[in-house]
Amino acid sequence: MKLLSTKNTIVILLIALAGSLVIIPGCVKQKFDVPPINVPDPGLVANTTIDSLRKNFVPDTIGMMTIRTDIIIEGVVGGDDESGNIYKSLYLQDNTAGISISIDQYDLYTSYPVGQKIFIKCKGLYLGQYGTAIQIGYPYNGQIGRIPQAMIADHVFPSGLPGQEPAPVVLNGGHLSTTLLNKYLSMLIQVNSVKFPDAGQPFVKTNESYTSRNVADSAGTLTNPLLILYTSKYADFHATKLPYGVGTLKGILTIYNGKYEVLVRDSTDLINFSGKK
Amino acid sequence: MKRLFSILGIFLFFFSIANGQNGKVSGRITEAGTGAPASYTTVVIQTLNLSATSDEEGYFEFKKVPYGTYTLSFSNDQFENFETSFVLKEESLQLPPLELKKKYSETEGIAEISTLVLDQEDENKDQSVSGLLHASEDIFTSTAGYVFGSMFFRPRGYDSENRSVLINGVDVSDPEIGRTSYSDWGGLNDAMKNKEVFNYLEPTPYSYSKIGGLTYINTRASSYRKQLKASYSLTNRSYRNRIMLTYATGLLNNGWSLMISGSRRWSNEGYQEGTFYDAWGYFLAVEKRFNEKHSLAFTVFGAPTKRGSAAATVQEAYDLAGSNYYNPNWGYQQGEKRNARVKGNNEPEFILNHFWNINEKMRLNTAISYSFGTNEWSSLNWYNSPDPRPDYYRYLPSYQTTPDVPGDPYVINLITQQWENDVNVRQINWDKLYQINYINNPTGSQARYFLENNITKSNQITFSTNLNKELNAHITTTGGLNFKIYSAHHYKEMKDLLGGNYWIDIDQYNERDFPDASSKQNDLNNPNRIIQVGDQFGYNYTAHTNNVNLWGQGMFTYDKIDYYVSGSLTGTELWRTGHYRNGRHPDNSYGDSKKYFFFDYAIKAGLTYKLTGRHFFSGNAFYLTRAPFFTNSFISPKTRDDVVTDLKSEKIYGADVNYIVRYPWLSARLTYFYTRFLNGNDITSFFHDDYQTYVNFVMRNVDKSQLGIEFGAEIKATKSLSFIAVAALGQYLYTDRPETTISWDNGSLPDTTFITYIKDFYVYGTPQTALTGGIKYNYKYWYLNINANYYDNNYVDINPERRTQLAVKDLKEGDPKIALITEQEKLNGGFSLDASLGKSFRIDRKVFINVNLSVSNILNNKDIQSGGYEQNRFDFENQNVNKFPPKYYYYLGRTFFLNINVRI
Repeated sequence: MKLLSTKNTIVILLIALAGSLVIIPGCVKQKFDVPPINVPDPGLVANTTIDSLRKNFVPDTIGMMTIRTDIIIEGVVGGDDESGNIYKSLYLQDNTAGISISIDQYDLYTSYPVGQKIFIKCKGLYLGQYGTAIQIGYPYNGQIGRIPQAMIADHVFPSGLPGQEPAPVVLNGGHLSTTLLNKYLSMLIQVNSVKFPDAGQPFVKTNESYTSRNVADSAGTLTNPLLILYTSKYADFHATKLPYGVGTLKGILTIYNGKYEVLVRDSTDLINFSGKK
Repeated sequence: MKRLFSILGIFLFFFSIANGQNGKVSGRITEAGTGAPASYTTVVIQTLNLSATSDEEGYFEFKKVPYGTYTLSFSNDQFENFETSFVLKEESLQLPPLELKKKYSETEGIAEISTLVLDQEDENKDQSVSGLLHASEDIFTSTAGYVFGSMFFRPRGYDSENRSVLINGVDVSDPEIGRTSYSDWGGLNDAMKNKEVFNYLEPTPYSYSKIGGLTYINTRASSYRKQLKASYSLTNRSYRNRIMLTYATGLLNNGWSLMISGSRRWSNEGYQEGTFYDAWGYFLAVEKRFNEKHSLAFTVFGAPTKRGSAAATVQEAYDLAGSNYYNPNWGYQQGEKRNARVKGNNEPEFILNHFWNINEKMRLNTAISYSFGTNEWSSLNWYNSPDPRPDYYRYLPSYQTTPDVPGDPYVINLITQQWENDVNVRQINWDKLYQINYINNPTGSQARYFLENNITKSNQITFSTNLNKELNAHITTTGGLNFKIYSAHHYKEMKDLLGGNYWIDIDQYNERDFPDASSKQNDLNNPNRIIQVGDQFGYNYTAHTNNVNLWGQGMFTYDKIDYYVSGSLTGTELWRTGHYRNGRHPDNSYGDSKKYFFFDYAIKAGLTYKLTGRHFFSGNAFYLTRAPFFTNSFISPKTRDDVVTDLKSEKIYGADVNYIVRYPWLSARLTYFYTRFLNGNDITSFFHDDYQTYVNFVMRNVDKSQLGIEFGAEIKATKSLSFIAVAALGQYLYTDRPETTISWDNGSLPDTTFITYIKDFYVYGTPQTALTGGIKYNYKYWYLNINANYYDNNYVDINPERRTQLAVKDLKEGDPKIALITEQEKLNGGFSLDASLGKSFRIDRKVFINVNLSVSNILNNKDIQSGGYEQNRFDFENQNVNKFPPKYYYYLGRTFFLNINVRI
């Protein structure tokens, strides 16, 4: 006698299949491990200071210089593009000097915020002058331009997690000099006892793509050499009004066509203004 | 209505023909081998062109057949066609038992829809795949569904809102967009296989069908044969495995019947990289037949599905990735592939039916249905951070070159190398997104990257009742009443903060322009709300659409001529309820909007002239108005109540003429059709990268003309060998210059309106030319099908901004740039070859086994573009069309579908 008819065998198989239908699931992955925080350690050692890199800059006929040696610099980000006032560049400084790094990417602050320590492998990059401040960049259309985004990974190396912003160089609005300012270009500076003749007006005038506001000392005399508060309309605080009274101005010191400009990173870089008209 | 009846009267007068001596013919058809009733088979007396449909038990009957000798032909999607003859010379003739041979389910594999196809459908709202719905005896229609479906072929160029799908009398389309989503019953193939297909304007006993025709799916438990069936499929399309189990009792002696079916489809990866698939399906139908007259049926089904989607992208990205099936939607997270664009769908449907055979000549069928459920689609969002999508245009080598400055070859090469060699450049780098959130957390800032879910929760109640009355042997009247109450709650939900702290519910872009203004608030009633995982944010509104419809139809059947007249009246009500008071639109975003009412009517009529029992001529014509769908009415429902200016119903009219031949060895149809669409609206919403917001393109007064030829022929060369030839040659054009309004969800720019110069442009979304030639061979339960297909004249969806005066501003006549900017690109057509081989076995006379392998695109042609669209952005500054080139979908390369099923 046949133990099982074909039909019964198949019924059993079908039931087994039904069972497997219930058991099999789970096999499509939809849950993911949360990545741990990555504390970057590029294992690099700086062999040049920013100051000596700047001093070695010998512009060619079009104002650039290729960096041909294995120069590595190290610095902390003093100014980033979070608010939009600084655009496609970072300001890096060490104990000796500051320099701007032009990179062709938005929102650099997301990876290289203020306080982030960074190593830069300079070989293959260029030094150049835009206006007059020395920057690290890459040629574009025959002049110094931005480092293409694709090159970042080979040249820019964050080290550790972001820390405190670098201590600003403290200056007094009444005691400035060209020598002093030139020394601190591209660094985070703090100018005590300043006043804005345009107080009460917005950082950026309506319909202007940027606005320069003069900076005066506590007595209301324009600083000498003149410091300009430069703000782009892309800064998210562009409509904020300049405070009245005397206070402290913090920002990145730059120079453009011979004029010294201070780029605040946010409106909170104007500190302790008395507010009295 | 008065006029309608007088027209009817004239028809009646002309075509009433005196009766000679008549008799009754009846019989029963069953499936060969099993004896199961061959229900819903169309039975035709050839020379008289009388037609009947067999009932659930397989019985059919013709009354008032003049004495004579006739050929009777049987057709049913599930069976081989069959003909027999009889002689009628007495009052009543009972035919001997008739058996139909089960058709081998050759087409299932080919008709399986791939993930790619589903994504294409979702991204282009006018795209649709209705392949599985076209199981028709008409060779053209069935080929259009099974063979051309994978190329998005749309019969007559009709969008899918022009086709009705009824499940047990319930129209299952989504009233907000007009379309039917067949994925609501995906994987329930056994449960949904009792189909009746009505082509185009063909009158139906179930409803006033839309102009693309109607598919009626019968889910009465008593209509399934008694069976236990299991099937397993292995494929490399959207999923890898499918298991289906089905059990049906058939009609039991106590009047009860039961059908249950369940399925699971899954894969970790489909044909395209990064696409997973995880779906279940369940179905239950119970029916109680109380007596000859009354029967109650209940059906519930659903198909919870989650899947990782694929996206179209630009050719440059495909080329860099080395494949036209490159998918930018996924990336690695801790070494696992994660898809950012996950779709979920779970919309169960409950249907209660009452079938009432009032008497032999009159029946009343009533249905109540309820459905509810969720559709969701996740996407990455970001705030003041680099675009996380790998195929963002600035990340591609071409971005290095501008019209003024050639790109640096070193840089171009470097980007190319990175794309080719670094998967974290080519795909989303999830670990990096987490890292950026981690780095920014200590400052107390909100998440820079997060994953959101765009959710739609719908609720729908329908009621429909339907009376069929046979007035006499020549005249059948049908009429019905339908109600539909629909609402859908739309909102965003935080799905995953990707390691970030929180999110604040404001519009970032608006904030940049107006930092202190209240306009940045997405909900002024709850400003600056902190959003955590699971919270609703962004937009929050309910879309309402209610319908009431009354329709009627008369069908008249005579010796030489059949004709019908149908009419329908519909009332539609649309409104929006806002749950947020939007900061950009504080006065017209919260609470109920104005209600918009539309009154629409439709009429159609057709006539068939039977030259002989072998040759038929027919013609149909229709005119209708159609209320705009919610989705084509509200300009930006996410933010406000505004509707399209001068919102009104669309007008559609058209006609077709057909010549049909039916010989035992040849059946063929040749058709010319013409359809005109007037006053349509078309709203496209898309995410604009630069402005980080949704932008709406509203096209008003879109007019189209769609005409063409359909040809289908099947030639039976021998008993086991037949040939088919099918051709669809269409010309679907825009006939006017619509007005386009661009509106920005974040209010960053004021609305702008312009004339769109697209007269004589092609309607996109379907190949306008589709041809196939095929061979069908069957011998001793072996089956072989081969089809060679050709597709052409498929065009990209256009960006209206490129067809404006502004786009070609300052270009002199004859400047080649003008053509580059304005001309519409034709997509790559091409050949594909499909084949399917199968065998049926029977063991112990009781167990049936069916094995089937189908292979699509055997020649592995990877260059056919199944769809494409221009990006809705244009480089006005440089008038450079290559800055934002079109994105394409490609027809899948060689795929297979292996299916084994066992039935007892």
